[in-house]
Amino acid sequence: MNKFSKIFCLLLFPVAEPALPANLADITSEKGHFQIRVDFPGNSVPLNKMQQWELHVTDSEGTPVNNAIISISGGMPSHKHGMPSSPEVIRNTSDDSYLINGMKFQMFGHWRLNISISEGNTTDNAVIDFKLPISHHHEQK
Amino acid sequence: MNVKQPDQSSFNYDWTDEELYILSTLMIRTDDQTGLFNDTNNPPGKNNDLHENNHQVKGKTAALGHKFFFDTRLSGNGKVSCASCHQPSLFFTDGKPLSRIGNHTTKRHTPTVVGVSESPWFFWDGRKDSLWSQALEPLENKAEHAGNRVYYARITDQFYRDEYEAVFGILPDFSDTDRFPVNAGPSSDAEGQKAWQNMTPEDKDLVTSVFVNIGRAIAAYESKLQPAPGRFDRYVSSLLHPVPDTETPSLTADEIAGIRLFISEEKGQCLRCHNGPLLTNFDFQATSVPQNSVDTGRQEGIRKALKDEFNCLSKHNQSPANSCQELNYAKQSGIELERAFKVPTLRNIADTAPYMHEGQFETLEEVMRYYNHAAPAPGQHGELSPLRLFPHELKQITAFLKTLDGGIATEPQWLLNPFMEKGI
Repeated sequence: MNKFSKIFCLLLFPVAEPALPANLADITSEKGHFQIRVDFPGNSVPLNKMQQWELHVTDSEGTPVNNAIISISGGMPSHKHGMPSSPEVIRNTSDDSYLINGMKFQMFGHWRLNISISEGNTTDNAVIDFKLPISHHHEQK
Repeated sequence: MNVKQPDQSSFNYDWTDEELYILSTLMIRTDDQTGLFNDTNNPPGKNNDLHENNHQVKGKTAALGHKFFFDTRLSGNGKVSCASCHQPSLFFTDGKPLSRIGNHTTKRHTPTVVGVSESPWFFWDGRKDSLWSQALEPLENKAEHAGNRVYYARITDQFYRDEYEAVFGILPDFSDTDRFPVNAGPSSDAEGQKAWQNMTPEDKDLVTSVFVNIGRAIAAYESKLQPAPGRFDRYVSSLLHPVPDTETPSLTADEIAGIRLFISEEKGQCLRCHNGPLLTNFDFQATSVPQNSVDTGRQEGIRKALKDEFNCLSKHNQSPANSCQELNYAKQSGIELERAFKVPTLRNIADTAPYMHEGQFETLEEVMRYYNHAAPAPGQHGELSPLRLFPHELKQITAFLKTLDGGIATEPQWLLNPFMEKGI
């Protein structure tokens, strides 16, 4: 298999259990109140398509936070523009997570998400930086 | 200073893995005979007609839409069809900055229809969120077809009954002019609007559902119009899937230099907006081109889309409401919408002059010169910064753009006027 085919296989056909890219997991919020993790469906993040991401929030002890009010915005810091859509966060009733509807990215490059979390009297903000294109990593067994 | 001449010899360049991945995202697959994308790329219900899983009915729907597209009877004066401005010989544009129909001039430049079915939004300002509902607006626009929906329902009744019923089921009888006045519609002239208001709600619904189906048929036809692969695509395909013992398609040194400039984040920066196989991200961007009229673009467009009679959340949409993600999560406010217009495709761009939303630029060279020194007027929102490339680099990008020309990937009969033989 030539090297070009390898790139596409990695991006399109997972060979083993896919792992989350490091910069989308174990993010601590700015004041330290929450740990968050986001995840995207499929193997990679497509451009120019509306998609639904997952968000997991725990407190600093690791206990899931299930009743927070969460808002999200994003953009590309170096281009000085935001996301092309207005995502919304809703509670996923089937497990300890939230769903982010309306995620969309219109170009490759460095993206930043700002996630604002409010639970009771506690409010905090988490920043996630990642670069598109991105895919789930693959661990070789 | 030496002026570099375009290099016509073939040239080998050693692309990096990352560059090759980017090229793969811009490519139209050269082995796909049925069109640009397979059905899995189109979410169910988006821009598809009623019977998306029934290929036979789909073929009949497109054939009916083909006739509607060229039928000048679908107009107030009997002389205007969709093809009046979307001319097959000009890649479904009309080659003019603005279009003139009778005494009216359109506010914006006629965009192509080729490849447009892949977009989530329609018109330069995205005020329609489906291909079929876009087709309906010019039909009732006084400055374009200048007709009304009751009139069109009657035309369908008189000339298309069998073909309509083969696709959409029973067509009501519209011959009773007491129930269905000769001219009536919600955007008609004062008399026509009054006539529309005097109709019963049930009769208005009957007319509107036929009107909607006219749009669906036109959309089914337009979905057949997809860009064909060009020299660029054959070149990239040969890099990704080299076939032994065959002649490798090649590009010139200037064309390859043009690609590298196009995808460069520091130099051309074109990939930011012109990405994907159609070389558009279908988003709305402000390039601050000088414009002759006050036009806020997407800022007004999204407001119109949210109120539109035929939008995804209306009763006319046949897919589930939770599939209206584009409308539900659209950006509705903010400075980025000001004077932002839909990014057009670059497929066949060399043959679809003039350029920009009022056709402000006649040639690709003018477009390149504009981007090279672009800056928004003071106080105005704009997303470009001047490229400051050398003249030969601008020529190289233009040389690359011409490798995207591939024509239209459809059987030739779809590009012909079906009424020519009958002399209508």
